[in-house]
Order: sequence, then C-alpha cells, then structure tokens
Amino acid sequence: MELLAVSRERGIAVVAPAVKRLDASIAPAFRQAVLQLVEAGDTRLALDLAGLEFLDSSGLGAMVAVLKALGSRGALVVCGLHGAVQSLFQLTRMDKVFVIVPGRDEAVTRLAG
Amino acid sequence: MNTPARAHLTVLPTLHDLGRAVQALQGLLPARLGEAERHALEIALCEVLTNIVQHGFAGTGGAPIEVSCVEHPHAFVVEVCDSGRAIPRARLEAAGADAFAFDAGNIAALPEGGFGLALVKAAFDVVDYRSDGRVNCMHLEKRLA
Repeated sequence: MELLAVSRERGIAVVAPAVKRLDASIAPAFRQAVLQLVEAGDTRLALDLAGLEFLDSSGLGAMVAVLKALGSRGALVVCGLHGAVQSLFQLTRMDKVFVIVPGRDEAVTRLAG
Repeated sequence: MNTPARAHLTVLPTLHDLGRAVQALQGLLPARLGEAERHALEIALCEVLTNIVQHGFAGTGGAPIEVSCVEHPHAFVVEVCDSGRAIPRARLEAAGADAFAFDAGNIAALPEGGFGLALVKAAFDVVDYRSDGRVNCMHLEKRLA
C-alpha cells in the first residue's frame, strides 16, 4: 500500500499521507517512508495533512521523528490541519513545536523563501 | 424517565482492527459535546485500545477487548475490559499533563511517545482502573452538562 503521495513544487517536496487515518497500525511505515525521502536528499519538506481525518500519538510521534532527523540540515512545515488532527497537535502542545501554516501554498512559500 | 443510551463493542486486539473500532466509538460519542471534546475523546479511546494491544498483549493478540458505552443524563461512561497484561499502577498514576511539559525549543529532546495515558486523563473527568489478575477494566467518565 502506498503510504505517501509526494510531489515537488519549486524544489520543495510536498508530502501527503495517502491514508485517512494515521494510527499505530500505519505509523512505523509512515515514519520509515518519510525518513527515506530525507535520506535521499529531500531536506525541505511540506507535510500536507489536509486529507487526514484522524491522527493518534503514534502518528504524531512519527512526525516528531522526522523533525528530529531533519535537525538543522533541513526544515519541515506542516499544513492542512483540521478536526481531530489539529486537536491532537494542540492537546500535546506540538503546535508550539512544528511550523504550521494553513495551506500547501503557504508551506511551499515558507520553505522556498 | 429516559433510558440511558447504551452500546457494546467487541474489538479484536490487533492494530488493524482498532481503526474500525475507534470509528465506531466516534459515532457513539454524545452529540451534545462540543467538537473539541469529541475529538479529545476519540483520540483518548484510540490511545486506550492501542495501549492494550501494544502493551497488554504485546502485539501477540489474545481474547477480544470488550467496550461498553452508556450515555447517562449527566455523564458519558465507557468501560474497556481486556485480558492482557495489566497497566502497572505506577505508570498509570505517573501519567499526566507533565507529558506535555517538554521544551518546545529543544528539538533533539522532544518525546516521540508516552502521550497515550496523559491524553486519556486529559479527555476524561474520571479514569479508574482495576485488575484482578485475569481481567483489567478501565472505567472512564466524561461529565455532560
């Protein structure tokens, strides 16, 4: 099963989960798939969560792992948060950690600038 | 007098089955709760079930998890019972808002996990847990206005 939809806009990799629910059954594979992109040289990532309907702490932990892997050599901008996905970022205070913008265009602009 | 709305779910203790179960539970949440509260409860119930599968059964499967929900006039009550390994009392008591008290500026030190039980405690007003060595039951209550 394809877990990611990846496109490139202005040199930025735009990554969107190809699932509606990112939970513990998917999170390890999702983490691995995004980390492979980073290892292959995509160090500026826009993570578009507009199509995601549910995220649990395992999925969020996978995103933290990606952020940590990027460290100072890259950047991650998250966009498209809504509903329960946005709630989890807020409940865990991860909305204070990630750079979050409303939409994909803003994310690409932020990373390309 | 109105009869409380009741529902019962039997959930296979596999990660694959949890998504469907959580979606079913989401449909049982009281409509009178606000959207943010419903999201928090859905997340919390997912964390409860995931904890049982990953830690209680260590991913090896086992007897189904039994979930019952009752919407009383003043509270939404959920009981989740399983026959896996019980949550250690100390771990349950230690879980709380401290899990979210990390340094947001220190990326390298950010936690990648450990939020589950803290999210449960944040979402529900009452979290009780009992185990007789064979069956573990988590009793959860969300007060309703």
